[in-house]
Amino acid sequence: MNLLTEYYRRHGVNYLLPTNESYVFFEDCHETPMLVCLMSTHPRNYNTCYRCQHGSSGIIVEVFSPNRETPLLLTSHIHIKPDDDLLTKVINNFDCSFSPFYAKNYRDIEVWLWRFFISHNRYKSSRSWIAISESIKSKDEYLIATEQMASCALKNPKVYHSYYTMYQSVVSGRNYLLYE
Amino acid sequence: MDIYPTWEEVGVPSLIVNSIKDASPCPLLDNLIYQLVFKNSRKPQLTFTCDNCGDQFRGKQHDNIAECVSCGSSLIHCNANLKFGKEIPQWTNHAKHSMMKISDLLSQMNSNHLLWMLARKKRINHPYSVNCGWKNDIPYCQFSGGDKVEDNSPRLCVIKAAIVCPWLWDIATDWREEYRDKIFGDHLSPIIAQFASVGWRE
Repeated sequence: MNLLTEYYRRHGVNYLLPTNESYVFFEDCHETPMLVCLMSTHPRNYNTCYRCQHGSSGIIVEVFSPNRETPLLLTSHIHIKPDDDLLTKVINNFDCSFSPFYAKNYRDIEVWLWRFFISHNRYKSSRSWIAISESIKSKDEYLIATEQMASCALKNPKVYHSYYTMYQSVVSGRNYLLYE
Repeated sequence: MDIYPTWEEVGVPSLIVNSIKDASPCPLLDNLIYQLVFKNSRKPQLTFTCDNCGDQFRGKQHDNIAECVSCGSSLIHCNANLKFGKEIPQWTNHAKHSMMKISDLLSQMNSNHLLWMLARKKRINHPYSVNCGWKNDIPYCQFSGGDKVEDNSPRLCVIKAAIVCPWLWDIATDWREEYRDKIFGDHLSPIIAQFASVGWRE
């Protein structure tokens, strides 16, 4: 049982406390992967600013959105206090409404990141991708994603390398914040 | 009733399994053996680089270096990579085979089987066996609950048969609350990346 998630549910609260070296995913109302939120302290953050260079305290929140050219596009870089609400300070500033993604295990994280990468990538409209999708006969969401990843690595290793670079930059050395 | 899981239940596509069975001798088989059988899991390795003097410092996951030890500058950035926790013995150019002993592999597989039984609350007195032999002058090997593998080299046959056991992937890539802080990065993405980097053959 995840204590943080259980506390939110029991008390019916709608806020999210940031934690160092962690990450959380956000989806839109159609359950489409939309945002990747990294939380870190200096110097673990992805991008630096003048405040980061002077070693300012607090938690640095960096939000990434998908992009057709690059897997990750830095959308915002904000310094907040550890007791600030992540939803109020960062997520609600966007025009659209996003909801956090609760993962059951590592597999959900892997599938979500792959869906985040492939849903906004121009590779999705290519012939090789269409051929991969038609050849998959599995019905389980996790199996479909892993078959897509394996087929992509076999037929288009550069595309898979681009996904794996994004995977390493998000997952390495961090813990996912919201488990069910 | 079969107590062992299938490949679909553990979430490994058949493309990966068939590629392992048909793989030629390569260091990737060693990596899989030490990762899955001997539990040499990936762990994050942090590298802190000072932008002022260029010095680099290594660290583990929760280390946080705010100032450079050499020059005291706070202009430090960190890169994280997934590395194997322990060094994996490399293949030798002379023998083209792994340096691992088959006897060590068999005893470790026995321990893994018992661990899986206890973790899944199965009957721990379930017989565990390794079925080996020759068929049409080609050696074959099959562990309990795993796929049958045929290969011209008996040593490779045993190594591949140890890898293609669904229950082994079940305990290696499963997430449970008690293992959350210990097992890190055991997703399929790094394994697929290993194969893709050396030209995976369908």
